[in-house]
Parts: sequence; structure tokens; C-alpha cells
Amino acid sequence: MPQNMPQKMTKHGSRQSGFTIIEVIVATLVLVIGIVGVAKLVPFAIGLNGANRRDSTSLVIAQREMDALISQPLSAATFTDPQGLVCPAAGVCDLGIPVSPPALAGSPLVMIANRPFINYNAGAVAGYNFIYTDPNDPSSASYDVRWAVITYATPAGVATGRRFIVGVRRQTGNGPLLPVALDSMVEK
Amino acid sequence: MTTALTSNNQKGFTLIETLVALAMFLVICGAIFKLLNSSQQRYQTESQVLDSFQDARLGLDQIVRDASDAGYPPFSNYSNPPCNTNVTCAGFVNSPIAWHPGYVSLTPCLIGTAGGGTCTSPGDFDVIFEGNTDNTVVKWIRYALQGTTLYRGVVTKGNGNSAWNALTGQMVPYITNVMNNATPAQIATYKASYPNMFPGGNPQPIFQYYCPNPTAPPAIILCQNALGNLTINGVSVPADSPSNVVDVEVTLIIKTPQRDAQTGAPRLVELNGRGQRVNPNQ
Repeated sequence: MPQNMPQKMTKHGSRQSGFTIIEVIVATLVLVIGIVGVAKLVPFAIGLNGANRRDSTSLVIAQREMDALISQPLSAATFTDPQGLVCPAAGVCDLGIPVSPPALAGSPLVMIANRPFINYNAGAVAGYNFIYTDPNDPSSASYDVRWAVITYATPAGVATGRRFIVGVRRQTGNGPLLPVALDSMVEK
Repeated sequence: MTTALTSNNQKGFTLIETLVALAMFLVICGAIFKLLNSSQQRYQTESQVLDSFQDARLGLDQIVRDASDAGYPPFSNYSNPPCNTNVTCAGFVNSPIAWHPGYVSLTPCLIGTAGGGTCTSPGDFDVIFEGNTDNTVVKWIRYALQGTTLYRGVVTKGNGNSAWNALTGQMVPYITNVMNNATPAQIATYKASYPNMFPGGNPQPIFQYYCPNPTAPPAIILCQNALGNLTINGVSVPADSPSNVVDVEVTLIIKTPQRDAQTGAPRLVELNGRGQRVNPNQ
């Protein structure tokens, strides 16, 4: 302060004291913690958006698989698809075993909320699974398609109906989302 | 002097301070605009991809619908056929999928892929559906890929007419930027971005035909693999002739009009559908 400053001004100046550096640092820290907390939501939202997209793709694949399974004649025990859309292009896929009483064939199931889901903790069963790679996905996301069949048959072993449980999920899991599960039935 | 002292106390920013602040402001503004620009480019590219999906979906739905509805009314609907059954007849459907050559006298050609078979149509990029799809008269609906445009044409079926000749000059552009029959160089470029499209590096047929398997009748296989003969209404016909087609697998690969604005990579969408004919043979 200049020596010749009047008393009034000095008093006025000291009343207008600013924040101390400590106060500013603490305030900045609090602000940064808040902003970082909010910013962390952005990558989470991006990840969840991707997971949702793969979940929708899984549903489309599951519906296509279910349509293909249901449209197979009951007399057929296997089916093929040279296009590789519902069964590996060079492979043969199975449609269950007609025995009486009905038996479950194919991928193991797990009950969640009284509904059957494909158990992805169990290994894949040959003839009842295939890996489908989405051609539209530049990162070549692959989907693990599995199904289980309960065949209703006469004692002579002639199939009269089938119940299919189809599960699809992204090959390496799909974040917080469960695999897609469809459950449908076809009868003579 | 109070005024002088007050103005002394109210010191302004120095030039250096102002310049530094301005520079920081510009740097932050530049970063924001760069972010804005990149999201603008992404938006532009993704909306094009969405438009391509929409084009593909509309086209695919229509093709699948036409395939599913083909074949009505069949010959077996009539106790007295409305006209001579040895040539194409406008009153009913001779075959759910018309063919060329040889359709007027109903001499079947054989379906093949990649240049095999004797049919010009149906082929990998060409098909003519026949049916009364809208409750009026029997029509021929042809889809044909020329270059990168899928054409669609509809004409009323005439007695003793060739579907191929009747449709000549009647085709109108339907879907553009269809890349199913791309050149080998284009396919190589596309496979770099989409390794799962164009299996084997070959053009992707738009139409693939499934026929009953003569060795295991309820099951169906690709028509060109259905060797031997099938008996339909007491008449033995080659198993791979167009009148046997029950399912048509449709695959459309559509390119966005412009490349990805950020990476310069081509953007493609592939959609797949299956028309399952609901009407019986003949």
C-alpha cells in the first residue's frame, strides 16, 4: 500500500480479500473429482450402447435360427445350410432325438426365473451350435449360437413335435447383458 | 485525491496477459471445433449407412414378399383349365418362377450358379416371379441387376407370351449402389474392411434357389445340387428346373454413396432374407 493512502481506502481494500491459494486448490480438487465422476459415465455409456447393439443383433440371429429350426420337417433329423447363416456352411446340424418319453438333446440349459436359458458356462455341444460372424460389423463381432431340442415322439420313435430353445450371445460375452433366449414349439 | 487513487488501484490486464489468455482461448476453441467437425463427419457417414440399410430393407422386403406370394393361382385350382396348358397361360400360374429361354412352350431350363446351368433367368442376379400378388391378374415381376442398379419390372401375363420378351423395356431402377456383382478389384477393397462379405472373394449372388431334394423329398437343397428327376402332378421334371423352386434366399449388399468421411474406407451393408413359397407346384 502506498504510504499516502487514506485510511478509508486501506480499510476498503482489506475488506475485499480474495480466496487463498489453499481454498482455490481445494475447490478445484472437488470440482475435478466431480467432473471425473461424470466423465466416467461417457465410456460406460459408449460401452453399453455397443452391448445393446450386439444384443439386438443377437436377437435377429436368434429369430433367424428359430425360423430355420421350426421350418424343418419333423421327419428330418438333421439340416444343412450352404449359406452358413443358420448352420456352418460345410457342416450338418442336429434336430434332436425322437424318443418316448421326451428327452432333451443339445446344449445344456439353466433355469433363470423359471425360464430355460442356454447355459453358456457349459461347453458347446457338437451339432447344436455354430459361430456366426456378422458381415456388417467392421470389427467382425462373432456370435455364439446354441440350441437345445426336446422331441416329442411316439413309442416307435417317430417325432410328433419339437420344442426349441435357442440362445445367442456375443462370443466373448456381452458386458452386463444376458444371452438372448428364445423358446418355441412346433407340432404335427 | 480519491479519484486518482481509485483508478490507480483498478489496474487492467497487461498486453502479455491478454495475449496469453487469447492464445489459450483459441487453442480451446480449435479443439472444440475439431471435435465438432469429427462428429459432423461421423454423423454424415452413419446417416448414409442408415439410408443404405433402409434401401436394402425395403427392397429385400418386397423381393421376399414377391417370392412368398409367387405361384397363385396354381393350375390345380381349376377343374377346367382356362386355356391351353402347353404354353404360358394368363389365367393361372404355369410356374412360380418363370424362366428364359424356353418359357413359352414350357421347356424347362436348368438352374445353375456362376455361369452353370442353362437358365439365363433365374440366375444369380436375375429372377422373374409369376403370380397374382394383388388379387387382380397374374403378373410377371422381374428383378435384374445391371451394373450396380437393381431393376424391377412388372407386366401382366399374356397367353403364349415369353416373360422375358414381355418385360424387355419395362424395367425401372429400383435399388442403386448394389455391389453384389462387384469386380474382383472392388471385392478385394471391400474385403479389407469387411472380411466376412463376399465369401471366397467371389461375387455374392442376390438370388439363390432351393429345390426339394429328390433323394430325401421333404428336405431342400440348393437347386443346382438337386440332381435327378422329381415327379410333380404325374409329370417327371428335372429336379433343378425353375418350377421346383420352393425357397429363394436373397442377399443384398449395398454401398453408401460416399466413402467414410473420416477413414476413407468404403461402407457396405449386407442384408439377407428368405422367401418361402406358400403356393403349391402347378
